Amino acid sequence: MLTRLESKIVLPPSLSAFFSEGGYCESNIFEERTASRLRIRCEARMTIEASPPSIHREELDSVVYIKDISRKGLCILSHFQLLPNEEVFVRFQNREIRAIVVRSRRLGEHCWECGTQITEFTNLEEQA
Amino acid sequence: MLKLPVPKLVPISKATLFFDAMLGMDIYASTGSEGEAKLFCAKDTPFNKTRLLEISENGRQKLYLDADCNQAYQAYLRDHWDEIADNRDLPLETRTSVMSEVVRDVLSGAFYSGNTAAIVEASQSLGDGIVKILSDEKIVLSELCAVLHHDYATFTHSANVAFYAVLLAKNIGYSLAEQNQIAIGALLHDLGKLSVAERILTKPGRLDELEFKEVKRHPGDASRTLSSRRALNHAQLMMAYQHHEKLDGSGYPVGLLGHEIHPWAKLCTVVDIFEALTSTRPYRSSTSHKVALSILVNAAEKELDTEIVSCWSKLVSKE
Repeated sequence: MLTRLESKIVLPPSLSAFFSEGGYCESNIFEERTASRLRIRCEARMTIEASPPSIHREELDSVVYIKDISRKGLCILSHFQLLPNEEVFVRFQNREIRAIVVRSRRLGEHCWECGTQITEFTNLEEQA
Repeated sequence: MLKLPVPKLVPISKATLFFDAMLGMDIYASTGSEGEAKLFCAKDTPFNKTRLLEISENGRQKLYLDADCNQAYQAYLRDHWDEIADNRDLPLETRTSVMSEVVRDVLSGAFYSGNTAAIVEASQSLGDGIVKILSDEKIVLSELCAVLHHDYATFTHSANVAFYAVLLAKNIGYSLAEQNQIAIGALLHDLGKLSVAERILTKPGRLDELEFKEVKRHPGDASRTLSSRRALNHAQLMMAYQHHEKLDGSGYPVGLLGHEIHPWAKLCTVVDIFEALTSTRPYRSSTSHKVALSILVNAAEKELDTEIVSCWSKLVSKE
């Protein structure tokens, strides 16, 4: 399925080493995080499953990049802006995640960082 | 000896009392020199012009009601404000003053209820009233400012921003229907502040990094709270979500560039800043209109929409 969609994300120069980074993210007191985040850098398929009533999406499926993941949250990069409360379904590396968009940050014209709260996590390898 | 409980009184404006209406609640008046409030108009007595004259003649300036009657008072205001807004026989200043009181009172009640549905419903009703009042050709900004409160409370700020936003929208050329929607968006734009700790909002000194981070969450919080409301359109939602964005990308929460910010959010930003600067805050006194305008004009070079600031500047300069 992933081969039928192409990524439209344009990484800004500050993220030129994006796919070579790994390990746990450093955290500081100002982030007020409750769970540590692991960098996973790969492509994923995202489907927008629901949007608030006043937001109309024509393009529901796209390729996103996974940035990091924790017990509670998933951070992705998208080529367009996602808005708070949109519900997304993300598939990557035998994992399926349903999540709700919490925040979005512009990194470039075709690169938006999006923080989500995980509502459902399935590891297909463990199920097999 | 039997001791009756002393009612806890809250001040109300006499401009909100409509002639010949049965109030349904006891109204108290302070006696001026002594400052002691006494029963002035019982709940089963109609309020009329004679009673209003009594207030002036006796030097009774302040009116109060029992805090327990506040809900009844809100209902009373909601039932009667449109009569005043529609009454062209009354001076514009009186109608604007009443509308300002009603917006502030109803909005504060709705905000403190914490019920989003009630807040949106109240805002829709109030938006209509604001547009009706400001549709008068003669209204100028200085008159409007004179009847608005300028204390620091989220509902006061939201009410003022709504009045300013409609005045600006009218002069930019938006239709009455659009002005109505803009009024509602403006009334709701700071809803996210309800989840910011009061001690941070009223902190006299500079906010530390954690506190500022909490404040910066309010546009996103408002958007999350309001996004499920079918009564609101995308533009209104963006007024809440994007009113701290700046054209050069230095704003929050997203860091959008000018062309990515909704025009209604840009409009809201200008009047939001003007209102904030010209109102008293816990950490500083109010700024004059002239100084506030010069700050806006300077910011327009990089951060704000030049045309919107220019239009607002003309309205302020009419004073």
